[in-house]
Amino acid sequence: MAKQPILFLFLSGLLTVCFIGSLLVGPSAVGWHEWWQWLNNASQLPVDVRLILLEIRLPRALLGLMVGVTLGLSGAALQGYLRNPLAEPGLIGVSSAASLGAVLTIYTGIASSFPLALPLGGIAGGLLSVVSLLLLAGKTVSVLRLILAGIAITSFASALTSLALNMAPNPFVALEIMFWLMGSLADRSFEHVSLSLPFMVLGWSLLLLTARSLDALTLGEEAAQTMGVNLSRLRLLTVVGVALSVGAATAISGTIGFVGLIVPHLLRRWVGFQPGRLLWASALGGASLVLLADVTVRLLSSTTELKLGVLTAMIGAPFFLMLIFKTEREVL
Amino acid sequence: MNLLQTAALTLKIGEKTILKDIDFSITKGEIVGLMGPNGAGKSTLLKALAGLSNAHSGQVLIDDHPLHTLGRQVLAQKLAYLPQGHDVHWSMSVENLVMLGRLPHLKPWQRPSEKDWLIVRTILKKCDVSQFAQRGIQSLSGGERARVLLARALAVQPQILLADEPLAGLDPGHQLEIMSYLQQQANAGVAVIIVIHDLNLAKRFCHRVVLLGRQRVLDQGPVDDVMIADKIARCFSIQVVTGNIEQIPVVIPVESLGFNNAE
Repeated sequence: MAKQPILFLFLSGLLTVCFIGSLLVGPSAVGWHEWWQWLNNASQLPVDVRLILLEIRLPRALLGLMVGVTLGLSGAALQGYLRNPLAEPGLIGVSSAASLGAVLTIYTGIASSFPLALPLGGIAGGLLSVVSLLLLAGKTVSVLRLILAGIAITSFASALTSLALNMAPNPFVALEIMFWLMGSLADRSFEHVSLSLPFMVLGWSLLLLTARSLDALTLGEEAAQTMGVNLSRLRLLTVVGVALSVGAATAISGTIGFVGLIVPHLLRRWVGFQPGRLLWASALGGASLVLLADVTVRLLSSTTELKLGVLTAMIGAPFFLMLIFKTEREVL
Repeated sequence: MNLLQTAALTLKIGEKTILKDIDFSITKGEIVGLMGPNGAGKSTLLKALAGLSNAHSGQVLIDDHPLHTLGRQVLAQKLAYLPQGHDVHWSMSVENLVMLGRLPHLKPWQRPSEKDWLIVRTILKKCDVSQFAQRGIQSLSGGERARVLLARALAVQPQILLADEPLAGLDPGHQLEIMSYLQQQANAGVAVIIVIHDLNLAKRFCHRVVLLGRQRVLDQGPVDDVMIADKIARCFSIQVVTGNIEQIPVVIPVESLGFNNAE
């Protein structure tokens, strides 16, 4: 019990450091000094420096934070709900559907004439996937059916995304789609923040409401039900919460894999394996990891920008294998 | 007054009738044993009593109110259900796991109080698991887990305790301890319904016994009226010898009569 406040302080501290790091690092030599000047007397700063600080660095750091919270929180909630450490936010098909929505705006060319069409398309795709998911998985509380419906949506959306690539009117469009799919936080603005924040906040709130029920679910569905847990309500909160927040996050940043899988796993031990407590811990941890990865991307990039999603996948894949082997040993 | 009672309860799984017209009741302070051969519907009945499945017809009454009219929270505070098997999905510490039993008494964002911890610690001692309080549940043996899960159910401090084979996987010493702890609970006013296979422990600790078989109640009543040789023989298709050794009732299965001969 006593460990909890320490963990909370540690994760909050880590997140603060990563957030500040994200404000300081970038291709142009703007850092501590300029932020200090801005704090003291903003009007004395040259316009271009102010633009870098407030219109480029700040929204990028904020989006990193928001996307990270989303991935960590929804990963923890899904793992708790499905009682499976290998579950991740993309499992129920929302990421693929949101990607498809965004890709279609690039494919049709709407995104180039109206930039915000891209995240809007992503959000629309995400929302559409929740509706299909709830229709496909029906009213049953069967976890298996939910996963199968998720797989079906994922395959269908991925197929359509490939079709868009296949039918791309010219190589530039195909390249743009490919780059977008890799996942990145570069060149985003405050409009992206204000567009996605309402969906994410709503999603987070729904997910945080599941904490107690997820704890009770540790004892299995039947015992949980006799402890007052409403399984259909829990399923609805989890699915809609994940869909809203992950849909919005994917619409903004593209697919950033493995964060939602790894973070809950790393932190589970430190919250005493309590799925409810893992929610907030994972939210803070996920935000730190995405910000850290995004800073790393900026430090490593020289001429060609390294994509955030590529980096998380490169670190994530070996970790995922390790997780599988470890789980196998635990089961044996 | 009956704490829990069923009226012409019929249970089906899909189209298959599991139990027909079950009438039985339990009052405060009683231990009722549900007995019967495998597949007789003991667990199905227990689940229906816990509100986990809907009756095809008839009803379950708790404090004279139909079960489905009670709110989830109210029901969760009155009744604790201990499922069969010892599955726990995450390796939570024993102490925190038993604390889950207090959830029905907490408001959504309320943290466990000092009183809740006191209840949990007392129960951990009674169930002889306080020495593992800090350990992860998945590091414990099957029997140890069984005791921890019983402790979780008891932490609810329910008026009605439904336990599906709480003795499975326990060594004789712990079987006796758990039964005498359930007896203490009953003495304190809890109505205990358990699915039990051990004829001797059932005869010694249960006040009443319900024998299930062939989709109905074969016999029910005070343990001394029901757990007699010919009724047990009819229910389980076995020949038994009953008697007393140093004032302790014993029921010893002697021979299987073959399942085809069952009435």
